[in-house]
Amino acid sequence: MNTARLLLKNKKWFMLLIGLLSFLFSVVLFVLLVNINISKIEIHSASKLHNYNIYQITDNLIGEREIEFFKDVKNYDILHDFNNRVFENSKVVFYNAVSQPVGLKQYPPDKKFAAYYEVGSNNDLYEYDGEFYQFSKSMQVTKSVFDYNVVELMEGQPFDDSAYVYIAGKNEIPVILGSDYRQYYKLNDQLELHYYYEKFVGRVVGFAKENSFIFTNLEPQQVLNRYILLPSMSLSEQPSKLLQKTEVDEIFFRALLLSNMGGYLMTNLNALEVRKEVADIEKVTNFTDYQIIGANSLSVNLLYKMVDANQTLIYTISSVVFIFSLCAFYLFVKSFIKRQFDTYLVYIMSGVTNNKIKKTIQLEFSILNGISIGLALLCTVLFMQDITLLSILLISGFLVWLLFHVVVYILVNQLLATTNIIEKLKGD
Amino acid sequence: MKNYLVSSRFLLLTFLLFTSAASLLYMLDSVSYTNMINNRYINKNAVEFIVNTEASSLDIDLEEPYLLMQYKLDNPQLKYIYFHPSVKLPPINYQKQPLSTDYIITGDVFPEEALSRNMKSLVIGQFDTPSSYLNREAWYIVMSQQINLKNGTKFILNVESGNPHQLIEKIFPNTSYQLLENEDRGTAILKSNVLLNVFLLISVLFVIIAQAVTIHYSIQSKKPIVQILFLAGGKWQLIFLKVFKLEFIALFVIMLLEFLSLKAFNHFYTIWGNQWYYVSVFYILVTFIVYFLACLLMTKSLIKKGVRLF
Repeated sequence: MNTARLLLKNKKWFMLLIGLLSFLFSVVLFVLLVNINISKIEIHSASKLHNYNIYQITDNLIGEREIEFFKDVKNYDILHDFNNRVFENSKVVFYNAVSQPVGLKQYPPDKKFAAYYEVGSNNDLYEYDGEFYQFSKSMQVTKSVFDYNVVELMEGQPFDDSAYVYIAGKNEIPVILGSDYRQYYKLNDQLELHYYYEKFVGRVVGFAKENSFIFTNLEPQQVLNRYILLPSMSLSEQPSKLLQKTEVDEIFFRALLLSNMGGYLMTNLNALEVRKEVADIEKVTNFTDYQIIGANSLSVNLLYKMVDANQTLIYTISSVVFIFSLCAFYLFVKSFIKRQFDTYLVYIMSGVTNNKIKKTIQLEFSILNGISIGLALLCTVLFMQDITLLSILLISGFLVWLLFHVVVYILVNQLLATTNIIEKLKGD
Repeated sequence: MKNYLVSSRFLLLTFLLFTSAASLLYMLDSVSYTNMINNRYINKNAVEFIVNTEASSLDIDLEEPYLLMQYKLDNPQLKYIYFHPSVKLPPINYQKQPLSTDYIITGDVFPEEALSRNMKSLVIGQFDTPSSYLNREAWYIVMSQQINLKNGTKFILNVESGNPHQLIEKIFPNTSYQLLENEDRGTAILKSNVLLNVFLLISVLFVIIAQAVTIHYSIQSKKPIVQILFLAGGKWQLIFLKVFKLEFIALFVIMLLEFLSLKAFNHFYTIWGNQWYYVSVFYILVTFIVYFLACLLMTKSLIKKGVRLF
């Protein structure tokens, strides 16, 4: 024990440098593993969209036709029924992300949240019921939008199933805010919204992570930083009944039904099959004012190509850099051991056995590497704030530790076997 | 003696570490450049603004490298491009050689029917950027340095370095404009891409530490000879020159070689701004100066200790 203590003494710099290199090498490895996982999630998400045939379903209710259609309250029920059946069809996934400005009373001073900021408009304020609101960027999304995009929340919870349903008397809607809103609001804040001509309270249930984006047909990456996300709500019962039960204006139900209808049908079916599938719903519900068109596949193709190109970039650069780091680390460890060797020879001269020297060097490296790898693991997990990969990181950390244990073992044995100690001690 | 004073292992390691640092910095910049291409060729330092003016045209008279995009608010896909001849354009497949008059480059999914008949005749190539938003755009390359404000009032200014706001003032003097806070698109906002930059930065740090270790051990190995020469009697300046002169000359040659190869590489594989090149040259110079100062300090401190001993 005394010998070991002596052997480890007076090597502060050596310990610090080898520890630092080992720490950085482990961080490089862990970040690489985490990144490969993230990139896999991104490509998986993009390929889910890419592998589907995407069709757009829209209504033909424009101008006079719309007014005529909604004159009869029964038609509300017909459209509601049609929407529900399309939504519940097991052969298609109904995906809807509608960009629809919403009035916000407690609007932040920063103009970038205004709906038409990007086109230089300064006229987003309006008065309703004696109060001022600002047209703010907002996106109504179905649950499938969260299933097919990587939208992580930095705080809060995603919408629960009840958020997607409008029931009579509901005046509170959960909202998820983009990351740029975080400096103005906190979780559970209540925002006064003016949504389809009705007043609602928007309760903040979450904040999306910075640069979260969702796919829409117009924008392959609709960045959510400045957006208010609202759940796209279906009606809990027939609109005719809701109109009787509530004082809500019919225009609200009309807007909700129409916005719910226009979306994307993602399916493995071909154009003919999907049209037949919807035609069957048409027969049952008697709603004919719709059309299905092949959605613009360019957007989803661009998104997929981009994520794919990014993954190739990551794999290429990471492998080159990692191989370099591995070689550099090996060379430095080898050089360290060689440089320390003269010190060990003095101990051999003082009667310490070869075996004891070997064991001490190995112990020294094992402890140092262990501490460095452990610290690197801790830093990576804290920095990433993600423990989903913890088991893989632990295993890879242990493998790195084992690898260097073996390398040090081989190097020390090799050096002791090839060095003529007598001649070295003579000074040759 | 001379062989002992110049460590070939140290020189080789230094050369490798210089090259590694430059490669990592190039990779960092090339990731940024890829992101710029995918983000409609908009640099991370670019500024977006809307001009409010009664004037019908404005002259650009700039020495600084810039690339200015102009477009109409209702037609952002067709952009009018003004640029300094020294800046790099995105990868383009030219079907005809670029002319000294205006010409148009289109993306492969840009609907050509959106162009007028006159404009169609100006198309001479397509963007060679398969995974970029540029595929959805057309660039009308304007050869004159006069901005026609009928072509749009929205602008995006890309600069290679420096403050883009000063350039706006130079291009649009006495003109009111509204700055917009732009958002990135493309690969730049993918989380894995952001983390790739972190990965590369940590690797740069790894190289810097490795460089520090190499310098530390090189200096350690010179300690005995400095002590012996001191005991043999000699001024510290002479000892310093004797021990380190050859190594400094060798390092200087390596430095020159490195600069030349970086210059050649930068010439053949130019990317936007060439920031990596300047940082690499700075890094190499700083390392050389630090090594010189460390050697100087070590010699002086050893001799001071020696004086105290005797």
